[in-house]
Amino acid sequence: MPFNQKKRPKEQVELISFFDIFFILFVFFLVTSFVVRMPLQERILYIPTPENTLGRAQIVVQFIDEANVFWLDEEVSSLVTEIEENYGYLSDTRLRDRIFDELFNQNVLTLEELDKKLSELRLRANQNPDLEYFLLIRCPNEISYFRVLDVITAISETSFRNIKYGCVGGTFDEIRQCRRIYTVVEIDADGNRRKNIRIDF
Amino acid sequence: MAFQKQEERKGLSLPGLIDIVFLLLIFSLVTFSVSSVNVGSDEGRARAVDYQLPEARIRETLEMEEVLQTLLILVEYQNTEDVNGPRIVYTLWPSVKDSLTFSEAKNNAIRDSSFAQFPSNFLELSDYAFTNSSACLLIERAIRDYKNLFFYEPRNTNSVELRAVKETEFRIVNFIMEQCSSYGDTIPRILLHTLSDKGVENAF
Repeated sequence: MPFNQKKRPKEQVELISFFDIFFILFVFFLVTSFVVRMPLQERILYIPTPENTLGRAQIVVQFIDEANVFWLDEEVSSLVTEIEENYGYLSDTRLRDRIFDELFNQNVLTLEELDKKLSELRLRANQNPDLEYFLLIRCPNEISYFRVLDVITAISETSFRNIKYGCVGGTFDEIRQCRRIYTVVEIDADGNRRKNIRIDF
Repeated sequence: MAFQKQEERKGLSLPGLIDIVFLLLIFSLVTFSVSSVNVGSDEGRARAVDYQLPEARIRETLEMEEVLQTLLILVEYQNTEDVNGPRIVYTLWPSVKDSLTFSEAKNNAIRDSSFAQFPSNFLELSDYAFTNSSACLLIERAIRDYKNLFFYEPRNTNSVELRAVKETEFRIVNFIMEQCSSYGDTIPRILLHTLSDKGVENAF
């Protein structure tokens, strides 16, 4: 006949101590997670060298200074057309100034707004793999080049790599003092008539 | 007479305390060594200016080779504590016969006087004066000579590297890009050194 096993009282985890330890560890990991950052390494990012051909881009980002940029995209065409229709009687220079003033009022962005625009562009590019975008970044001499790099990094990681980019030197005043800014009707790859904006320097 | 309740005073359990202290110590030690930039190697120490490189927090970057692969244009502060001070440019050439690390190539550049200082007022200079400054002439000559020696035909892999401190003015970077682009597709890209998270390799 087997001996009866001695019955021991079942040990239970003390709930209050358990919560104490749990919360201490939780707070500790919370604090350290703010302090610890992923290590950064020196790595290489490639940038295409600019081509010496007539520039063509869907989006132009012109740095004005360290905190503001001038953003031109296809939506601008309708605005320019409207001004051309309403103020067609003005001389070329005055019409250019009029167009430019309107564009300036509506298309100067802070860096935060630029970030938002670039996120929207990235989202659009991810949702439309067939579309290809070319973004031209123009930067004046005195701006630190990491600003340009920030824009490039913001548009680099798209799922279909359908945002291409290029960067060239150039000032906001060069656009302001361009010979002419106007819309032209062109036929796109699908045979559709499109109004594009053209800037003659 | 009031009764006095004799309670045993509770003390800290020493082994338990030591356990916890050691656990926290080891955790902090490990996480600290992970979060610091790699400055352990000689090469890492030579690159103390790494912290002044621009950050590009994306995965689409290439791993940097310890050994110089192509012509590297290095732009640094003359005095690392004065970011508004003059900029110095070095042209670092890789070795054909043996492998040269970054710091060895920089020592060679100093020995061979392959460095020059940008004028302190280079932003105010006209294009002509700027492109004829000793620093620009050094860059122009280095790119031309390197291209003549190694880039015989247009190839996607032909490139020049640029390692410039974060605040480097775009005029300098643009000049380097224009020099490369003047050779058309022979030098179709420049490789910028940045600080990035360890990313996924791409076949650019």
